[in-house]
Amino acid sequence: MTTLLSTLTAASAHATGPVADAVPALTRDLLAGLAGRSAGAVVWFASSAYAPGDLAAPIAQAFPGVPVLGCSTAGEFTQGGTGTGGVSAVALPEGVVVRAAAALGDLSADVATGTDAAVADLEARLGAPLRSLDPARHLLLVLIDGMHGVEELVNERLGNAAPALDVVGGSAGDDLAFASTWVAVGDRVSDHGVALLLLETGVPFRVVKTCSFVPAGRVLRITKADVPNRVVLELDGRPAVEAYADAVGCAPDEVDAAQFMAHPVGLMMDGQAWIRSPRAVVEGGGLAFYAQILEGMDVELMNATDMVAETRSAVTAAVADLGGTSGGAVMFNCILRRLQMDAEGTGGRFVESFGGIPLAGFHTYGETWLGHVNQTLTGVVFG
Amino acid sequence: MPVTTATTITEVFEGLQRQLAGNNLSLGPICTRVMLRTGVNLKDPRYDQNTDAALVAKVLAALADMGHAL
Repeated sequence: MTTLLSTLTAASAHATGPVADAVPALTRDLLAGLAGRSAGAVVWFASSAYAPGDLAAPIAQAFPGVPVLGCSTAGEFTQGGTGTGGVSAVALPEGVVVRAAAALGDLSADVATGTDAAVADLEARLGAPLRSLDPARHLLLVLIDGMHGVEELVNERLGNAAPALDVVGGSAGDDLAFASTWVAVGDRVSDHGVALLLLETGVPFRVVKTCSFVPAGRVLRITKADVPNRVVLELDGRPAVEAYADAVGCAPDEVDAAQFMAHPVGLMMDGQAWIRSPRAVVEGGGLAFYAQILEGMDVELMNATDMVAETRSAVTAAVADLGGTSGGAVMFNCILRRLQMDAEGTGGRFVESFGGIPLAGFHTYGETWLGHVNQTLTGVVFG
Repeated sequence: MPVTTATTITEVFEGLQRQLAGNNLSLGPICTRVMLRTGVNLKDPRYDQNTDAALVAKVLAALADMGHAL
């Protein structure tokens, strides 16, 4: 697929190696890609192998006065390739971005309070409440700590402040160590925080959300759940693992990671699945998930389809909806999708599915579009 | 604080539509947020959910939290 690039083209870059080499290479390539234009906002994603302080300050200093957002990852990608252990970035030029503001929230004491404080900071910088902004010209990018299971509450607070705005983003990763993640705004870093970037765009944009799953035709009702801990205890009045195994077509003791990967469940709305991925069988026959599912919800058992083809289809549709051209994008891809790509050797085809749009993305511990979702690619494509 | 007399999800949705006055750009994200928070599809509620008083109250509370008290 070839995409005609607009004149408002973003600059993307990817670098690897020691930080002393990677950061200068990254910022040099971004500035070269901008070719003298000013950046309206910069977003970067880096392996947790790097010390965040070695990245955040020098990247921010390369773009004085520009809102800069970043986080740790479980892999990084651009339109040119996907890998681990490096850093990817995209600089959105002025014109694509008319106005931008960023804020960092500390979630360590209280998630709701920390998120609200970040929103208040953002609104003070903008001089306007988020809810007053035109959703056709504004969107909110969000990077959330990936280790504390707080994405639902963060999204709820953001939704309360900006119910009509598209909120798109991902949960920071740490290269599958599952120890600590971090997010950054400018030269400030938090290992238990949320980073917000409000963009007023000068071009139209479309949100991409694709999950490469289709309903298997089996609806399950959550009849008992430990919601805060993301555990479903019962489905259809039975121990969750038994009902899930029946739906998948295997014995309960055969339920494993492979079944989970191929058969998550989807909360369906208007034909779209909001994927909730099981991660483990817990004591008593419950299933732990990577996202909350509420008692009374109906979910569909899902069957996997072709991830690369679905990604290409979603991106192509977004670009077509923008008139056939795109100047840049930011993408958030689930770590489970990356692991599947690694196993299938389809990483190259995955990035090719973006059609050459200059972009940066990372492999996440959770994806955001209006709420928290699993095993999904979310992102925003700029016209 | 919800002030509506709505007793069904359908009535809640109608009230929200009236409040948004045809602003479909806002309606979609708000409905999605309600679905993710409550399990209720405002546009097409399940039969058993539509008249569930506790669920109606939960949806009204979610909308009020978002600044859309009905």
